[in-house]
Amino acid sequence: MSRRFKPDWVHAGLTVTAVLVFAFIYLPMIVVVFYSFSENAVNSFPIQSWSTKWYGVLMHDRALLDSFQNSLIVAVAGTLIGLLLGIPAAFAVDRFQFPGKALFERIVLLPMILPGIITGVAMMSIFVLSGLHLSLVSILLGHGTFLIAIVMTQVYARLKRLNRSIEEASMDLGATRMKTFFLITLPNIRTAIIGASLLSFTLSLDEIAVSYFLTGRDLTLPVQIWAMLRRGITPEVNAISTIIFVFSVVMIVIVTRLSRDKSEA
Amino acid sequence: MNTRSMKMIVLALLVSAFVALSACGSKSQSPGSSNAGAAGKSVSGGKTLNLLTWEGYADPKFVKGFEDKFGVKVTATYFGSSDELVAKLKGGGGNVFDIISPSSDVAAYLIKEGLVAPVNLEHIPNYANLASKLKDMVDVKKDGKVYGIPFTWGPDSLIYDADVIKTPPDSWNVFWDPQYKGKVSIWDDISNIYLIGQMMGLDQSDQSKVYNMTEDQLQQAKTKLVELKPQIRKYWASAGELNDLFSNKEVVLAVGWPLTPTTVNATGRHLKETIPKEGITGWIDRLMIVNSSSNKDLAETYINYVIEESVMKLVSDATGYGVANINAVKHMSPEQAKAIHIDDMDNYMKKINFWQEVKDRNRYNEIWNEVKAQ
Amino acid sequence: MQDEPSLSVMKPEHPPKHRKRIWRPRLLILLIPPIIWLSVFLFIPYVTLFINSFWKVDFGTIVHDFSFDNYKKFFTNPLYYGTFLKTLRIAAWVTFFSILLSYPLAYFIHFKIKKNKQLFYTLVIIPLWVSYLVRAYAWKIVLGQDGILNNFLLAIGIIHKPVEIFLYSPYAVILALTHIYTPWVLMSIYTSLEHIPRDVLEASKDLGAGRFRTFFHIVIPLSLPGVIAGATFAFVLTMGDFLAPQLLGGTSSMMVSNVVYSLFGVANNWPLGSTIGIVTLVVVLGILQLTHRLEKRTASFEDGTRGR
Repeated sequence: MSRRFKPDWVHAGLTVTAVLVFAFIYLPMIVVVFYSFSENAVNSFPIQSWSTKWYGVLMHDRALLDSFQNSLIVAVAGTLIGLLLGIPAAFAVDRFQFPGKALFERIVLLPMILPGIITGVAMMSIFVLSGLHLSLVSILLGHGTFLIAIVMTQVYARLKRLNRSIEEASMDLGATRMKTFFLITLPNIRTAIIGASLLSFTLSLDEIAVSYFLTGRDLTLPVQIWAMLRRGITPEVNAISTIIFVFSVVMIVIVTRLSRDKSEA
Repeated sequence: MNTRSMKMIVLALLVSAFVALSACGSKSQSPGSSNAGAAGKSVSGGKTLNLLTWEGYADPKFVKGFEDKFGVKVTATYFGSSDELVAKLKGGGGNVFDIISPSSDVAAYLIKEGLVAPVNLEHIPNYANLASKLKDMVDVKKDGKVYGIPFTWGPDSLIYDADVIKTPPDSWNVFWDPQYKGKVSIWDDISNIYLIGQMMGLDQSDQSKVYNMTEDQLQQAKTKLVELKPQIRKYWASAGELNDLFSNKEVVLAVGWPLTPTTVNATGRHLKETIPKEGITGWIDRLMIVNSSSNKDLAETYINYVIEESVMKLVSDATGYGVANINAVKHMSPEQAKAIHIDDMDNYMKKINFWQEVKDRNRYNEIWNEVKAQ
Repeated sequence: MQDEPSLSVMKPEHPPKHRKRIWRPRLLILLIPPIIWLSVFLFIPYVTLFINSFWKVDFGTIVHDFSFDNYKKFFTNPLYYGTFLKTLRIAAWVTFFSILLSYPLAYFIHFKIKKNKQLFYTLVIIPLWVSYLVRAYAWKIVLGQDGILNNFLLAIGIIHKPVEIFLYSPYAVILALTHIYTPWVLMSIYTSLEHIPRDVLEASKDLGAGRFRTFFHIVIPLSLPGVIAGATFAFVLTMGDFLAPQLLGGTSSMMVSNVVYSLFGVANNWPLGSTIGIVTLVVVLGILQLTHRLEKRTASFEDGTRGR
């Protein structure tokens, strides 16, 4: 196709389109990074003078730091819940036949696709009815519910491709089921578990629709940023956004490395 | 294979170390915060006081002094409208806050619903120095008990950018002036309906009329607000957002609070506020103690602290609002006293129709949503 | 959702009569914890929402007085059904633009990039990991009165005074949501392009089909399942969005989730909010079911082509 000598307009057009779409995807984020170094409190163009002062302000914003800490607690605990319940669910679906299996699979996946606001208000309703306080725990329960789905899909995808004969070989050689699980199965799906953990962690860190309604007085980072945006505190939001952006890139590099290992294996 | 798994372990360790470090890092930032808050317990051992207030009502300028003096941590959550406050209190937030700052439109409702507790005035000696006009209001009194301590008050005035609009507007009708198409901002709140009520002249004889409009009058208000829509750039959700809209030159006219000119003019702009001939509404914010609070004594200590005359001056510095303690004037420059009208309080207050309870808030909210959905 | 005719068609053999070995203890150990969790934190909340939708509110207090009034209200007051329809319209636009933007890029990366394909793919999906709020809010800086786009257009002389319509309008909402969901759609289209066997394309070329014919008759049909999956995602998530309209929308950009938000978070009318939530839920489940079938049909077409 590309071995032509006359100019290939279709190819050129496609290339230009691709570059434009690429720019569309990245432009806004690059803008935020630049503006986080603007000294002016107003986001006007062009940037008048440069400074890192908003990063300094950030470091002394107690409410923001507290919310970051809350978010980390929720993300770590939520990921653990996702792993504890999602991995068994993945095994059940991969290894067993049972009535209602298709239904089970689809119900598990629901919280991932249903609008967060509805899950949020529905959960808020039961917490309020049962007289429970809205707190980090309620946010955590909300997050755990959709993280189960994340972990299950990731681990299930790996289990499906796992060569079962090595497990059988292990048991033929006299290893117990437990021993086989820890020595053979687990090491083989380890990268999928780590990948699922990082994905869950990041998603929880960014979740806002469910959290918004389950928040008592301890805010998570996105809810705090949302409150700041509503109050018009934008230069600081630029700075924290840049940090989140860099953090996200680091995370995805890790995950991509893991998935590359997977494809080589 | 070996190097790869090594790398992976190192990465995993790095991530967890990062997580642990940042958790510790932010913890050391706030030594007062025990993990109690994080674990979601409302029992904070008398060391944390949780406010649910309008923006600016937990400014470090005056809260810091209390924290240092009593070794207490004060946390604040902000609400953007009276309805949001009620929704938060009823929606499970009721048992996590100690002090709230409702305005005069919902104060009586909160008492009726049993969401707030009476205040023991013996613990609030500074109550004696508050403006009697504010203390005399009956909506926060029930069965001889006082439920709300006056804190601040202010107008919902017409704010305009004096760099663009040279002659001060004398009527709300300026909002409908085609010249300012797309340059107006009003609050995302049912108080816009009160404003139209005032323009219709409903409160000439009885101030409470604009808070209890008939269905017919509400429909008229709706039509008028829908007509205004092309003029509106954005309905502001918080005072900070309005400041932003003025700072970014998105709007030149708005309904707003004194906080906005105070803040925006500090960056070299020239916003002015004025009272149009149809009159304006205004609000009185009281501090109240949430019924389910387990820190009632500490809450009373805080209230007494924050209405002390020198602290009230700081409150005014931070918010630009009128304060309830008349003696605060002793600590102010004449300009500041004039700006918040504390020097001429009785006279100025006569021009304001202060928010009252809206019996059918639901309908008002629905009308406002219908305006937005058009 | 449970009784799915197409599913039973696919496995005609009836389950064995005696299935005593099906509920093995090991399976129960694996299955019971997630089932309990999902019942308590997924099923019960939705049932509660459903029950709440039949109550009503009098002066700020929920009255347990069973009626269909809320549903009646939803379907008669344009505030509710009108907003709902508008939301569907916005979601359709977002879906359309996301596909329009992501298809060429996915095609380009898969077919035209020879070196570092993985790197390019990763670059495209990195934004998925970047905070939703950041991505929505960034447009405020770009589109504002004194923002980058206006200043750029002023500088090159296309406009002579700042354009107001960019920010605080439904267009801003559609733009930002398109920006947010394009990588999702792209990911799913890319995956389906990857699954097209190269030899099918070669065969098409060998049989004398030009690249346009190959594209329209082979590539597009074979990538449809990916397009449908991505479109579903963009559509459903847009339906549930309430932040972008509040951040970037103008005076008329309220979407259905903003109404739910307002009824729960401001107006304190939970029953009506629950009603709208339930209606949204039913519509979303319907869409999921529909696209699930569509995907299956196009996927079986894929198998058919492969078999040929």
